[in-house]
Amino acid sequence: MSQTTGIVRSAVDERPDLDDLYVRYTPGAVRLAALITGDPDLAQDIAHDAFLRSVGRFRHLRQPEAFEAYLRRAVVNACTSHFRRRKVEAAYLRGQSRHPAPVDEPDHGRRDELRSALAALPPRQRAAVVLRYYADLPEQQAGEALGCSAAAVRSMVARAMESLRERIPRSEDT
Amino acid sequence: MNDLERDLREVFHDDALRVPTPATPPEGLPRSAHRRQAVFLGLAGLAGAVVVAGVVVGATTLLSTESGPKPAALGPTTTGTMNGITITYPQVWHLIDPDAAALNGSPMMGESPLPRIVLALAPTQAPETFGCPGQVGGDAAATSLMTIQEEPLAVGGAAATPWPVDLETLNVDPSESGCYPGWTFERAGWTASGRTFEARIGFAPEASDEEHDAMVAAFASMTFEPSPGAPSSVTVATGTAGGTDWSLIAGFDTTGKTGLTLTLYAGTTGSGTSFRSSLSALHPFGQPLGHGSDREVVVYGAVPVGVTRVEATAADGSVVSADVADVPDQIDPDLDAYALVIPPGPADLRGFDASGEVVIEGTLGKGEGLITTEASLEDGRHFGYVRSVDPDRLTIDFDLAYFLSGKEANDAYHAAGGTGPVPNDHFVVNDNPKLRTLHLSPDFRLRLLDWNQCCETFFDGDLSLFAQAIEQQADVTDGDLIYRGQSSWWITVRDGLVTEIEEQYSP
Repeated sequence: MSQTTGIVRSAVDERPDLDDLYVRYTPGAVRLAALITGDPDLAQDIAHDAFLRSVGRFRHLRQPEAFEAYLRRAVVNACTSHFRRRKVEAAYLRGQSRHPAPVDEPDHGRRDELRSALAALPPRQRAAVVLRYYADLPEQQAGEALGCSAAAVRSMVARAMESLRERIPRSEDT
Repeated sequence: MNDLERDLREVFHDDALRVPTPATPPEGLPRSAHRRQAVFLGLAGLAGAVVVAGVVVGATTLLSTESGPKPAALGPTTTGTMNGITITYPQVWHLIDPDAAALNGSPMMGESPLPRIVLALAPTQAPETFGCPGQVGGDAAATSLMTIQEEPLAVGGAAATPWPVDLETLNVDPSESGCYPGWTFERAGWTASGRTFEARIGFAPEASDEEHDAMVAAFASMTFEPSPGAPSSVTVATGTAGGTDWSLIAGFDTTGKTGLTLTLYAGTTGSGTSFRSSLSALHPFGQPLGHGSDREVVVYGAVPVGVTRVEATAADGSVVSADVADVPDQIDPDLDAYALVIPPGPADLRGFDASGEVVIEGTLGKGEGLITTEASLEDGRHFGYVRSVDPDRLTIDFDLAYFLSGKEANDAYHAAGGTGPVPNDHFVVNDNPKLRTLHLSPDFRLRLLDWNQCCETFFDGDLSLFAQAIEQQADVTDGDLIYRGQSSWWITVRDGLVTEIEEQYSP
């Protein structure tokens, strides 16, 4: 049985440097950003920038287990900021908006429809769906990444799923 | 899982595999990190300098907004005060306002104001100190720093140790030390003037003995002013379960209606609930922590004053007991708190008085206590708003409020700025935004007003349609029957489960 008084920290002999942290956490951040933005190249930039934002925030010195959560939140923020910027740019660069193209090899049928429907979701709804069904985060943690409550995540995911079902009429949930 | 969810997972999985990811860090990452931090914290540092200049008392030099190397000689000292902490430190060092330097981040919804970093001290300004000082190198980087974090008031354990205290070595987790390779850290926890603090001090390998001594002297010089007013939150128990540190915080229910609020923080998450002062039975809450064979459950709750020890018999027959922790009278004069770590599964709990007699009992639910991990309410009828419904998990998110009528309603209405008699002879008080995730009983009943035969006739509603109305915050119709998304509700709780939801008539 564990002790019930006193906070215990495990002693760690080996301390990875910044490069180790980068290799450990950035691939996941790139994948998350790619699925939210639909743009693998942009995802590299977002993940790199989010890593640099998160790694020195010092706060994680007091919450070691929270680094990944901070990074995830920074990625989500950067992705949604990107969509906001893109909306502004689109107003000036009519016809030049970038459509997400997440995959090199096109899929067929329902999956293509699903990707198109995902791309059409509002950014935060898309991020919520990615956090729930790709990252497998509980609503509470997804809410922390999105900066909202678990109930708001549930609502966003529900609305997103409703939109996806409307856009994919062949979907027959069981 | 339905087809759409399954397809989503598969698409995400396949697409994620196709995303090129970095196998190695880019060249010059440490310097990139430092440059990014310099930009990120530059404005905060500037703002911090202004704020700090305003609060430092007796400082002989104003803080410079410039960054750069600092003199090796430490020279004379100065004294400053920040957030009620007075400290003497080398004049060439910097007392940094943690809020201005963004060390406390942005408060999340429902986040407690404590713990909060209340003071930072370093030979360097914020950008050099809180970027990646250990990776930057050179004269500009910080070689030592100290932060003081104020915690909920500790009434027991090491953190309740009275000031002054000695520093001890702190072993830092790998994920913490990326920006501070080779640094050594020290810490101390204490309570002074009715406030609880934790200090963390870090030294780079190149920090001189003189610098080390100056930092330790600054630490030892601190004096503390009491917080205005009574403590609003207190750490009543701490421990480790399933490999995760946890702490139990007692605080006020901000509505002032239900008395004590207990919140269990573990890792980066917290869960908790409120307790009324009159308890006839233990209503334990269970928070599972850890995975697999390491999994354990922290069981916690409130007991009436006079209960001195709580004992739990777990599903495997093991018996665990713990002394009851004192909750200060300023928070709740009628209740104290307990916390136990037990194996997963249901448990029977007993509370003993000083003579060893069992004076109160309770049961933790089945299924590792998951039923009670999120929140619950005391048995009885409660008014409030249903904010969301999960028909699959059989849960609702419930916003507890208070439905007042008669004189109470009029008084509350006038206190809120209303004039004349309260409209419709009722008034709802809902000051606390906290949501409670409550589990529905399998035989739960949903009673909705039949607006066609208004207003004392109910029909048994369908949970899915109810969920739809709540989610849309709009009326959903089923023939002549109406599910109102923006109504208010009375819920009945039995043994921690919601057995009935009944619609409140409002014109």
